[in-house]
Amino acid sequence: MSVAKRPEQNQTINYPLIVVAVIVWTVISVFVYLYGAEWFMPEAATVEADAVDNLFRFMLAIGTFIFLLVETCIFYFAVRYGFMRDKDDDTDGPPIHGNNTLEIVWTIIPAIIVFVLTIYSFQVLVDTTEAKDNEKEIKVTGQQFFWSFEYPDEQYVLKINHILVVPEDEAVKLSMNSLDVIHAFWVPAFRVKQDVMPGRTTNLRFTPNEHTGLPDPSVIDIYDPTLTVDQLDELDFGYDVVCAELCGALHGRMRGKAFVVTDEEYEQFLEGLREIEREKERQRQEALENLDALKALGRSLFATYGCNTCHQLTDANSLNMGQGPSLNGLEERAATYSGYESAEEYIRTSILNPNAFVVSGYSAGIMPQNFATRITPEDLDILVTYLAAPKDN
Amino acid sequence: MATNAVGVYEGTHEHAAEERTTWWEYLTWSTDHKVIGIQYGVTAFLFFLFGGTLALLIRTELYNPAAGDFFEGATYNSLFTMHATVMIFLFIIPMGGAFANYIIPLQIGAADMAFPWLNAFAFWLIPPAGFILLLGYAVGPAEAGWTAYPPLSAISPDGQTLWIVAVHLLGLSSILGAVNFVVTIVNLRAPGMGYWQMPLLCWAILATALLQILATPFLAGGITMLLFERIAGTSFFQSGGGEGDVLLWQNVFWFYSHPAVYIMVLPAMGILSEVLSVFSRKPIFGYRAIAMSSFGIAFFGFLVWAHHMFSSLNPTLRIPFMVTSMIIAVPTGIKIFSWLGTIWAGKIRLQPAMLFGLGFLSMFVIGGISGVMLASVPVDVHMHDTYFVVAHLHFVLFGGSVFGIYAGLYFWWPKVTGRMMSAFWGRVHFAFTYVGFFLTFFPMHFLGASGMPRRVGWYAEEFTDLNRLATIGSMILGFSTLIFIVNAAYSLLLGRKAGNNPWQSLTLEWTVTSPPPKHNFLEQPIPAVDPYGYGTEEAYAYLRGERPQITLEGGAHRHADSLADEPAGD
Ligand code: HEC
Ligand SMILES: [Cu+2]
Repeated sequence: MSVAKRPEQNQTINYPLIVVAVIVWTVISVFVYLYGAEWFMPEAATVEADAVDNLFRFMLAIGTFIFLLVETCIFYFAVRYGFMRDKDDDTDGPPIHGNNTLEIVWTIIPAIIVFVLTIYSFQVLVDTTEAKDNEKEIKVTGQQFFWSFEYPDEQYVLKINHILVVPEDEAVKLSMNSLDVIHAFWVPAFRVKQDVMPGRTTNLRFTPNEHTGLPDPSVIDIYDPTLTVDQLDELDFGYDVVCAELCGALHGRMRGKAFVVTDEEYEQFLEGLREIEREKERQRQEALENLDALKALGRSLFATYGCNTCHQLTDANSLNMGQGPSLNGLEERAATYSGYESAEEYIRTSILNPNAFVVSGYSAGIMPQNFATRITPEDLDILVTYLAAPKDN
Repeated sequence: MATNAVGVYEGTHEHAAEERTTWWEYLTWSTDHKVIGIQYGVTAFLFFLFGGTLALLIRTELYNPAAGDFFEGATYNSLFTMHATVMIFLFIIPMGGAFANYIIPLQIGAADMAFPWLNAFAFWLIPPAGFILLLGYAVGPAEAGWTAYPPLSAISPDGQTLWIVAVHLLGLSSILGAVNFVVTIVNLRAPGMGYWQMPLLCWAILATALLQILATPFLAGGITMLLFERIAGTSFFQSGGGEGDVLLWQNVFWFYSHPAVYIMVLPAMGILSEVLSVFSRKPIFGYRAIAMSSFGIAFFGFLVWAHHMFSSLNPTLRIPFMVTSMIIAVPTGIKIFSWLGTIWAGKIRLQPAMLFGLGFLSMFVIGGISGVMLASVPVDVHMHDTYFVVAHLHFVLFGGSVFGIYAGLYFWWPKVTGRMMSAFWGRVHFAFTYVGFFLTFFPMHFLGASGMPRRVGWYAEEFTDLNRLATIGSMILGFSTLIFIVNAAYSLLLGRKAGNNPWQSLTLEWTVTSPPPKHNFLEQPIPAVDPYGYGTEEAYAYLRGERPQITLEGGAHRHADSLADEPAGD
């Protein structure tokens, strides 16, 4: 194409400037490589976290270089050729249609970069997810809106809500299920995340390496079944367990705490859980005769099955005004509904088949429909009796 | 820039005035692509304002860590669900339709779209769809996120059913519009415009339309299953409790919704190519590479859907999707560098359109870089479903698409309305948008990486400062929109008359009056041999009004006049 009226144009490439720029970009990128993980990432508490952080800051450094290159060009060109342009010059710029060498370069170099990143990522992926020997397996259950953890034991079902305790420097494998919708188990400090789905068991592996210990019982009693997430949030140590997949109204409050402990502390913790189970057994026996004992057990079941995530019940230390009606005064109210023989029958029906009678002002389908399969018959009896029993507020 | 080129057809239009479109045509059924383009644009912009208001409500709630300052639980969830749904399906995608409708026939020298009736029909699906979506507020709006993952979406309130119906209609609209664009671009180009003479917006719309036609049916299939899940008791996705698989939805949904990201960004990239070249007064650098990289992106766009599922997908299956997601960075990089090559050594006119173009380039690249990080499985496993992803997607969809849309609005405003917009207030608008955007979304990278999940109305105290910064940024961003509206309104009423070609552009839409006459071209349009040949003798001649000879297939040289009877496409 012939070029006419081509204005003189200073198109000589300013090599010294380019060299200076490249040096500056490189220095900044190296700096980002050294500190980038600290700026972005939370504390790291697993072996995997270190690997992920290294990969992250490597990518961040390369990204920074490209970012600086592009942004410098944009701002330099805008100022040099736009802002500082001779405003009386109405002519066009030089008719350059392209440059094969350049175009090949900026195809090949990014291709090489992403190739390297892919290989590196693949390596980290394999290292961080492969199965190890002697993994400690812990079962995780997600439900609206809390996590519960079940620790392996020969004699009892050692289950606790909100609290994950893992031994330091030992490979842990979580095997996870959801009782309702999809949740995602995430511990930012561990850099691991896995969706927890109904109908599928998913696994997550990591090796914690930063000890936290367990909370002092005088500050917070982790075995207290009515312990709430808010109380746990007040602790200044322990790693946050977060639900990362939208799971409903209280998704943001579906949280827990993870503690990394020594082997002895781990044993102690399990022993504590066993003691709770023994205590429950005793209570169950007693409850059949004694109302106070039954109430104590009822309060704890109210939390164990997550009724407290939706229902206010002052007697059970559930103060939250969540998605369901307050159950304060339920015992009196329940007796007044027609069509049920007793308050107990109404309450039992409300739990097993929530849509049979929908409290006005609430919509059907919010209260989980699957308690019939989740609550053991013994527990259900106790829960119903507890809810129907008179309380002091 | 103030000089108005004397367009070729100026003066031949004494009778054009009687044919001016009356205002009520914009409110009723019209098959004129220019009317439809404006209908798309205005409707989309109104939804933009609505979606933006929802975004400001979200940011207001997030000013404090505790939930329930203003919104809580399900209500809060409905805010971001509706925000995303409105922005994606009722703003960005229809806005692409607005530009394509108005500009494409003019750019290729056609009198209208290939199927004008279908075109009108595609548009008129949108208002009822929007109405149905908003009707959700009467029965409890959708609140399961725009991704609507079952089982949650199967048990959420009735607004979710309306959401499905609305998205169905919008999907249909999108497919019908796209069919029309493909047929129009392939068949109705003026003689003399081969594929390689096509403006890059046409290439971008062609690639977009192919994506829409191929991908949207999957969305339709997915939401049909979801609909049955809700109203007919099926159990495709485990929501009934027994059979089915929750991942089925995610696969089908993302098989559409990943390409949808490109449906949203490719038209903006097309706009960017026009704007950067015109305002740098330089040919686009690597025309073919830019045109073809759109198709590279479109093709690979179909092979990366599962990178949205890196924390749910079977672990071994994550690897191939990591590879494809990484590869897609290459054509994207080609575009970015080609655009840099375009502005290099140009004679840059810093008009508002150009500023938004440069803004696009400088922000989109951040979204591209964070995108590569997210393509890496181990990093994504940590970042997935956090504010890091929220940052990434807004750098792509706001930094990219919305900046591109603004660039396009400023660029074609004089053509569409016949009046100039104040460049000064345009620059002010840009400054507020740029700063507000950056303050809103950049801190989110840190929030997400350090542990804040997305879609929460509550967050840990340690995240307060950065959230407040983001909220303040969003207010600036919201305010900037008002500047634009006032500037636009002022221009409509009192703006300076624009003339045919205020930007001295070489593409065909600038050869006719502003606004263009009813049937676009009163004479056979003759495209420039090179639509981006700025700086060449041919370009100066073209802008002076001299038309090139047209080479027809078979090598015969003829003057344009003798082509007057050839169909311009109708
Ligand atoms: C996801 C939230 C949620 C959870 C968890 C939940 N409920 Fe409910 N519950 C509701 C809602 C909403 C209603 C009102 C609508 C209805 O009647 O179905 C309700 C109603 C009730 C009623 C009837 C109240 C009345 O005033 O008549 C009882 C009793 C009840 N729930 C007990 C329980 C028990 C016991 C548990 C734990 C095993 C539990 N709920 C767990 C949401 C929940
Ligand atoms: Cu959850």
